[in-house]
Amino acid sequence: MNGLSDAPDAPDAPDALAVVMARSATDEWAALVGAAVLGTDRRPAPAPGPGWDAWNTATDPAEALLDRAAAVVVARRAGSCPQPAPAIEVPTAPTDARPPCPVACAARLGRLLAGEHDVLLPEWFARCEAAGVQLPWATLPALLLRGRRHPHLDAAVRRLARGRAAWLAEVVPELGVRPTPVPITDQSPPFAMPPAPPDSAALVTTIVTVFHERTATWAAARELALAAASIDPVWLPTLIAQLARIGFDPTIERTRREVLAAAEFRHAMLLEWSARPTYPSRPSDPIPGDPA
Amino acid sequence: MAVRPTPEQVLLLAPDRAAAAAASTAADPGAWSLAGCDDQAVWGQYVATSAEPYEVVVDLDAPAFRCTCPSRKVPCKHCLGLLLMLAQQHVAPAKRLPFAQQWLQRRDRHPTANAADTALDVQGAGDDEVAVEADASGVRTSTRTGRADPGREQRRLDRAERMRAGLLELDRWLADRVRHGLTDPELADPTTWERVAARLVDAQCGGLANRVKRVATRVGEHARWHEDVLEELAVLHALAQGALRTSTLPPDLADGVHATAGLTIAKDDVLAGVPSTAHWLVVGESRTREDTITVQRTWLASQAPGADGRPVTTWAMVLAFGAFGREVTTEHHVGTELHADVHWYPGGIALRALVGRVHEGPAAAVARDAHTVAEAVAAAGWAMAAEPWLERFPVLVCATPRPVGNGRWTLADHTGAMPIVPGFWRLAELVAMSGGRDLVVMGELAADGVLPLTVWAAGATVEL
Repeated sequence: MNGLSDAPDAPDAPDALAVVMARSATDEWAALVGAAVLGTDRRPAPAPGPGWDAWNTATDPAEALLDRAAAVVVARRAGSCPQPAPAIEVPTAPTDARPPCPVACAARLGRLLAGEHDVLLPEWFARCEAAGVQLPWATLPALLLRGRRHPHLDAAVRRLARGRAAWLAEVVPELGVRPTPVPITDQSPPFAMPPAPPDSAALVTTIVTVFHERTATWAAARELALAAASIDPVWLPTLIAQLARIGFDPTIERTRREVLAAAEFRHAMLLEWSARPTYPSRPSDPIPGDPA
Repeated sequence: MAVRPTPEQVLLLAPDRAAAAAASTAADPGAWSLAGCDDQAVWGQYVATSAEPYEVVVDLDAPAFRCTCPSRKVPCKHCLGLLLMLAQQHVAPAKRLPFAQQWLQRRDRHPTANAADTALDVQGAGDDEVAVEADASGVRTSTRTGRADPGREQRRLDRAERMRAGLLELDRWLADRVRHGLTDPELADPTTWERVAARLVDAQCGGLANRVKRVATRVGEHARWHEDVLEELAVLHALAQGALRTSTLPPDLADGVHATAGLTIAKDDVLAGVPSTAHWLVVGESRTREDTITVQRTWLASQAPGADGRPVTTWAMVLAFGAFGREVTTEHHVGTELHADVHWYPGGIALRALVGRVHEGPAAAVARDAHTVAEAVAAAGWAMAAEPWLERFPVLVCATPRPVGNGRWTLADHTGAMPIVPGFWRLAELVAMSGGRDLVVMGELAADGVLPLTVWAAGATVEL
C-alpha cells in the first residue's frame, strides 16, 4: 500500500519531477521520521529532496517538518498501488457440484449455532444431507471448532463438507483445526436425532398432560424439548396448538415457552427444508399465532 | 432569453426593507468593475472596503444568486444592486468572467435545481444556490436561508471564534510534539492526549477530538509506531491549517475540512440539496466505537456501466449513532436494494449522505458488478488525493483471499493484491466461502488494509 507511483489511470503522463519525487518519497519520509523521533530541537530535519522543497516554506523548523510530512503522507496515500499478488499459491478446494444451501436453511443453522434449540442441530444435519446441498460455507469454521470437543459432530460436519473441511484446515492453520477428523472415543457425546417414539400421538398427549398437571417444571424443560424434537413432524402443529392454549401458571410458564419455541422452531425448520423433495409432504395445520 | 427585470421587480426580491434600501446604494456603477451580462446571467465584481472585491453573479433564468460577501441575506444587497444596474441599463453585454462561467456551468449540470426555483423562493433551491460566506475569522459556513435571526448569527460568530482558538492551540501543540521528539514520555501518557481532545471538544471541533484520541491508541502499538503517529500528526496539522483558512480553499474542499473538523450540518439543509435518484444496493454495514458512542456506517452503492464497459460505482455512506440504552438500529439491511433519493453532505468527496424519499423497495438483491483490485485501489487513491484525511474508502472487488505468510492475508486478483487488516476475526469464514476461488467482497479500505464486510457467494449475501 505504501508504494508510490503515478495513479494507474492518471489522465496525463507523469512529468519528470513527479517520477523523481516518487523515487525519493521513501528517503524523504525516513528523514522526516528520524528528525521527528528525536525532535527538531535536537536534530533538525535534513534539506528536502528534489521537488519536496515546495513544502519547506515555514520558518519554524517543527512546523516545516509537519508541512513536509503532510505532503509526503498525501502523496503516499493518494498514490498507493496494489501490492504484487502474493507468491504463496493456494490450492483450490475440491469442486463441489451440489447446489448451495437454501438461504433460509443457512440462516436457521446460524441460529442453531448461536445456541437456539441446539437439540435440533442433528436433525438440521440430517435434512441437509438428505437434501443433497452444500453446507453454508460461512459456518464451516465455527462447526469445525465446535467439533474439536465433539468428535461425532466433527464426523458429521466433515462428511457434509466433503473435501472442504480438510482443505480449510490446511489453508488456514491459524484456525487451529486438524485436517484429519477428530478421533472418536467411548466418552464422545453422541450426535444423532433423538430416537423416534413408537407412538407420536401418545407422546404429544403425555407432553400436554404434564403441562396441564402443572408438573412441567424448568428441570424437565430439556427432556420435554427433546421429546418435542423426536415426535413425527406431522404432529408438530397439534403440539404447538395445544401448548399455545395452556392457561398461564407461573410455575410452568418458562418451560411452556421453551418447549413451545422449540416445537415452533422445528416446524419452521422443516417447512424450510420441505422446499426440497425429501420432507414428507402432508398438509399441515396452520401454526397458531404466538401465544405471547 | 430571460426578460430584463424592471427596478420594481428587483426590489420585490429583497428579503427585507433594509436590503432594498442598501441595494440602491450598491447600484452605483462606480463601485463595480468588470460588470457584464448576457442572455442568461449578469455578473460583476463589487469593490468593497475589504481587500478582495466581492464576486457577484445572478442567474436570470431562475433567478439564483451568488455573492462572496459575508452577508447571510439571499439575495444580498450586491446581487440586488447588480440587478438594479441591469434594470437601469448600466450593464453592457460582455464575455463571462471565469467565476461566473464556473458557477453557471455547475448550475447547468443540476437542471432539477433550476426547475425547483421560483422567483421568490430561493430557499427551496439546490446546493448551488447555497449562499457561501466567508466571515472575518476565515471560517466559512453554508446556509440556505436568507432570513436568519440575529441571535443565530451571533452564535455562529462565537463558535467560529472558539474553533479558531482551538485550531491554533492544536497546531501549536502538534509543532511542540515534533520539536521535543516523539520519544518524549509525555506522548505515552494517555492523559496528554485526553487533555488535547477535551480542549478540542470545548472548541467545538469534535471531529478532530475523536481523531486525536484515535492517534493516542497508536502510541507504542508496534515497533514502528513513530511512523504511524507522525503520519497522523501531519494529517492533523494539514486539517488544522486547512480549517484556519477555509475562505481561501475551493468550496468543496472547505466543506470537507469543516465536516472533518466537526462542524455539523443540519439534516434539513442536506435534504434540501439536489438528490441523486438511483437504484441503491445496501452493500455493507460496519460499526465502530468512539468512547461511549457506537458509530454505524451503512454503505450504499449504485452501479452503472462506464464508457469503457467497466462498471462505475457511486457510493453513499449513511451514518447512525447509538449510545448505551439507545442502541443503534439497522435501517437499511444489507442485501436489499432501494430506488431512492440520496442527498450528499457537502464536501469534495461525496460519501456521507442521507436517504431521502424512497420510491421503491427495499427488495432483495445481490451485487452485480465488482471491480478489479487495481480499479478499487485507484478509486480510493483519487479520493485520498482530494481528502487525504479520509480514514476509509469503500471497495467492491471480485478477488480471492490469499495468504502472504506470517498469518497475513490479501485479497488478490490478476491486477494485484490489497492486504486484509491484521487480526481480521472472520478470515476463516471468508476463506471457507471462497474455496480458493474468486468471490465478490465489499469492504472498507483503510491505511492498514481492507476490512471485509460483506461477501456474495452462490447467490447469497453473507455479512461477516
